[in-house]
Amino acid sequence: MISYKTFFIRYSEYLESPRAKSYFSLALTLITIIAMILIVQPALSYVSILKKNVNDAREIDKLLRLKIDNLQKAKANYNSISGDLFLFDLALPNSPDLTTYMSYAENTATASGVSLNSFQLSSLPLTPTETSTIETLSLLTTKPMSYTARVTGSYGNIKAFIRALENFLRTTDIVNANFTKGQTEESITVNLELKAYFLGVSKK
Amino acid sequence: MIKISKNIIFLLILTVLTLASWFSFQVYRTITKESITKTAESQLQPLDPNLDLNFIDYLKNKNR
Repeated sequence: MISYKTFFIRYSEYLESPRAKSYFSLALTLITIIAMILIVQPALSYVSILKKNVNDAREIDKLLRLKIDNLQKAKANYNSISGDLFLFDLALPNSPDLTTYMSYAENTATASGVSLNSFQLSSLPLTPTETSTIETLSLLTTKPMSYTARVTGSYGNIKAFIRALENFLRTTDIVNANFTKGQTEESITVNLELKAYFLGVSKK
Repeated sequence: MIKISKNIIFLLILTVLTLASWFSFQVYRTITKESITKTAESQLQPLDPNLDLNFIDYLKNKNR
């Protein structure tokens, strides 16, 4: 058991010295400051976390509202062009779509008055690319479909055929054209190296 | 006795400074810490609602 009487008598004698008294007051002040920091710290720390969370939530709310507005505008824009969306599938199909392409090439050749003697393709995927999942959407890219064609006809007809190919909705690049004299006086044979495109998936 | 008190005062001042700097850094870290998750960040990516109508007109003209 501490004897408070002797304790106070001993320390009151000690505090009679002015220097000791000021050191004692300073020490007590510092101890109080330390105690205050330790007591207040968790509360202030929690307040700063809450403030940060509230600010972040406000920022997220603002950006999400903006995105919702943009999505509504995008939906309205999409509805206004939904009737023309098939054009994208025609211009850039999700498979080589050889049937349509070859039929167009043959019809164009007939219409232009040239004969399509050969049509050679490199290896191509026959299954359409999956375009409905989010995973594959990010990997979609244009893939080239290279082929060679040999056409015979007069200069004017071949020119019309090449022009028609260039104006085809599905983008076709003429990489190389090699002209040789045909069997008759007016006929020319052209070996065309061409490139059309389709929508494929890039490797990860 | 005065010498001991000086040392104690010095120790107390150092303690106050350490606690104050620790507390300040903790608050600073809380404020600057990235709290938006990557999923939320990807959902917050801006979206341009405008469509290239000129290109659609170009395709329409080509299809005629």
